[in-house]
Amino acid sequence: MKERIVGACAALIILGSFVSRKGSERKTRDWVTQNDNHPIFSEKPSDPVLSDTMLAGYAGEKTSAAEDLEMMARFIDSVFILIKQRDTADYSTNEDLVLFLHGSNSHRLPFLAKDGPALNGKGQLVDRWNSPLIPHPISRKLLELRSAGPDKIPYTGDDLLWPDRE
Amino acid sequence: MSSLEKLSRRSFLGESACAALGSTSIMSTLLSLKMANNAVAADLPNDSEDRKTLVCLYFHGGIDSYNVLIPHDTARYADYAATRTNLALPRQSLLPLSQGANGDGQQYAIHPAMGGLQKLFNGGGTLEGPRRLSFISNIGTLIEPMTKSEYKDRIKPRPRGLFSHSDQAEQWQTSLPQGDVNLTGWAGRVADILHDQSNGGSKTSMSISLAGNNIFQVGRDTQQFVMTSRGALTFSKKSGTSHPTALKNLALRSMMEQRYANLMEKAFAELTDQSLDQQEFIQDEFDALQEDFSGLNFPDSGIGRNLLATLKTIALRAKLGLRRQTIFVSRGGWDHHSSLIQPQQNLLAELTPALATFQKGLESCGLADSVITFSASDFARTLRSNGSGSDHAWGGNQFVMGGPVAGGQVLGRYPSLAFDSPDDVGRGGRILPTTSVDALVAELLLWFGLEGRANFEEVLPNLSNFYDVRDAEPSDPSTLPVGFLKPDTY
Repeated sequence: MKERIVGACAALIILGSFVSRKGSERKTRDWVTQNDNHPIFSEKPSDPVLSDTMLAGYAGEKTSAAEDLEMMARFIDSVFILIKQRDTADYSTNEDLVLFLHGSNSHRLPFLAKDGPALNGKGQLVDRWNSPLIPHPISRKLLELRSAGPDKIPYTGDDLLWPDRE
Repeated sequence: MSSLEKLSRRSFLGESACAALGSTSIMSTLLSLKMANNAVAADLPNDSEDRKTLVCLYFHGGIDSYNVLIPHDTARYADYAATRTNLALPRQSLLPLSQGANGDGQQYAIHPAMGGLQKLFNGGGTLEGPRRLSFISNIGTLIEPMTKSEYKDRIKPRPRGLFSHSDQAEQWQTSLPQGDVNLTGWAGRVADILHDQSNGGSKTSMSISLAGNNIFQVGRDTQQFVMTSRGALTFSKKSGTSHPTALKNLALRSMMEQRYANLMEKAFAELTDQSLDQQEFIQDEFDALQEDFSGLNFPDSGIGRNLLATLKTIALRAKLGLRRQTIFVSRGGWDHHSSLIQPQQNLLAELTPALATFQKGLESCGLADSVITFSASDFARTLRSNGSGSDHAWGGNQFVMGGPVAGGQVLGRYPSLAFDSPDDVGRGGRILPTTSVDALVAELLLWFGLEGRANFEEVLPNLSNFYDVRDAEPSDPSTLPVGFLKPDTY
């Protein structure tokens, strides 16, 4: 647990510098765009995003289902720390949450990679069994996450919850 | 076995939770008890007949109200059935409603477990009894009227924290969907204005909660007086130590005697002691009323006991010197993500007889014309099934009940239940409200006796986005914000 918290803090520091750098880059790019009509990003590889770090190993062999859910929850919490101007209406469903993490947020910043083990073919956030995660907005500060568990049927006894109610 | 050993863990925890025996909660409760100090000695208002009570019945969790009030004509039921799929109730199982002259002219039915409320809507089933209940369709939190495109394009401000439990519960209870730095409830703000004016000032709190602490009744100068179904929260009890509250009371008295050494603290302890005495008086009055209601046969359920206590508390209002009173009652368990049909059936089957008995009790005590009960909930739920349940949505259906209510009407605009209709903001049938919480509250408060545009703006800062209280004509319900009051009831 302690290692995860330290990891999360480190990721936030990295992200903070990333956001800061991104802001200065934007000014430069704006200037370039104004003076040159050629798009300058199309041939570049996509920028690193927070999920590259915080969801590394998600649903892999070295993590458990509970650790996956915790990893996802801490990733989302970290985004929430950075995006103060947000509203539950923007991430109350899986689909909206994905849009929010892909950049439909007040900073217009993507935090979630377009591909990877956290997304299924429909673009939904999924657990290790490829079942969509279920966000449950309790309040502006708390978004409960549910995994349907190994039986892939939500709201049954093997579901996993974050935060755990036990 | 000693009396202490007889206490079950559940009972003790329940009592402890209600009493909230943390130091902060003790102080808060004692301060509200202080308000009862002069209850006995208080002068009654000159017009002792002018007494009114608002009862808020809050459904925590977000009731699936599109399975409570259901379109019953063939075409609209078909939309309902197609949208709700396995959550749709069979048409033949529904209880038909017979709307009065001022309804919207459409055919509706209610959930099969709500027979008691069907009678209150239809008028005793024979149309000869009084109609005491009307529905308000598609009501929800709004800052100002909004269309679907205005919502989608973010042209107008949205309520904060849509689809989230605590935010929407808070907004129903505060009528401040944009939030506030120092959040207060609308009933609390009303009490700030009306308590001195209507209740002569220093009397027991006009805000009574039978559901613990809430934001609904918190004002700048007002706190709710929290009661249980057995009466006032007790820190003292005259007899014995067999009850958990008595044990806590002994501990509190002992703490006061031992710890409060200096004069100021002594004075406070004395004041507290007086408050406890007054609380005991209120409890005695509460207990003394018990015989009067035993024949009503309230259901032996949590909500049944709380509504019986509500009835007693209303009957006590004259003795407490209250001309105006708000009472908060709640029932949780409506967050039906995992399964809707059977759990909602069970809850409604528990709720309905309790509500019907409560209204019957008001009638038999001659209190029916001075009490309005209204329902509220975090939000309605998605029309789309998530498998066997439904998820968080927005606008839904609520009811108002009482003697002053022109029963037998479905008011507001019932939405289309087809997916992607102009009422559906997406993600499985989340309905944009067409009647605001402010409109409901404004009409309740017109009846309750709030006067003056400035006072309405104080209690409902967004009301002018929906309604101008200067338009209200008591004799003409069509000039009212929703139109559920009988003519000339205020």
